[in-house]
Amino acid sequence: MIGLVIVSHSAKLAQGVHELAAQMAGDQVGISDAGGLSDDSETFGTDAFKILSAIEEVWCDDGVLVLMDLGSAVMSAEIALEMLPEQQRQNCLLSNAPLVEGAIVAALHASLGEPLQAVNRVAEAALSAPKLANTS
Amino acid sequence: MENQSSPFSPFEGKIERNEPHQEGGNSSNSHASPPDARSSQLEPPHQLSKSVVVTVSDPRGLHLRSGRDVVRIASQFQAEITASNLSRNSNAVDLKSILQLLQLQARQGHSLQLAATGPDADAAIEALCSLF
Repeated sequence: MIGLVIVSHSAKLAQGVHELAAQMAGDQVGISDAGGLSDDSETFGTDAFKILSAIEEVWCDDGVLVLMDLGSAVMSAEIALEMLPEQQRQNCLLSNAPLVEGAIVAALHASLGEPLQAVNRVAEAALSAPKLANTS
Repeated sequence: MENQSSPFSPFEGKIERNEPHQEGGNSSNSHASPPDARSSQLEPPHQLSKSVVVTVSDPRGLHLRSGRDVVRIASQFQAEITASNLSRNSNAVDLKSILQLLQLQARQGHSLQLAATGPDADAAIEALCSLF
C-alpha cells in the first residue's frame, strides 16, 4: 500500500488536508504532511527538508505519492526528491492533482490497495472533474 | 428537503426494486419471483444487468464519508456500476469514482437509480442498497 505526503504553504492547510485524507483512507495508509517553513510553521512557505522527512516518515516499497498546492511547493518537492537515494526516488511520484480533491481521491484509492501510478491517475483526473451536477 | 416522489420509491428510506433489466430475458415474469435467481439462470454471466432505485435517507445527503463507503463497496465487484440522480435528472456516473459520485449532489430524499452490469451485478446491487 502506497504512502501519501501532503505539501502546502500553510502548515494548517497541510494538516487539515491530511486529516481529510485520513478520513477517506482509514488507518491503513501512511499519510504525512509538510506545511510551512521548517523552523517556523506559522510562516507560509515550503521547505525541501521538511518534505524529505515527510516522505521518509511514510516511506514504503510500494511507493509514495506527493500532493502539493502550487508554486514553490512544487519546486521544494522536486528538491526533496533529488535528495532521496536513487532507489527511493524511482518510487516517489509528484502528482499534478489538485491538493484537496487529489488527496481525497488518492487516499481512498490507496486504501483500496491500488499501485502508485494508478492512484496518481485517478487523483489527477480530479483536474477535470466538475464539482457541480449536470455540468459534465 | 422533501422526498421527491418517483414511481419507484413509494416509501421514504425504503428500497423498491424495479424490474431488473434483462436484455433478451423474459420480461413477463412476475415481480413476486426472486429476481436474483431468475437472472442468473437466464443470462450468461457477462450480460447480467440489474437496476434499482434507492432513496437517500441520510439527513446530510450523500457526503464524503458515505461516498467513500459506496466506492469501497462498489470497487469490490467486477460489474460496471453507475448511478444517476433521478431527483436532479442527472447523468449516470461511475460509482467506483468518488469524484463522479459526489457530482450526483444527492440530498436526503433524492432518488438514485443504481445500475450494475457484469457477472456479479446482483451481488453488487444488493451490497450497495444497504448503504442508502
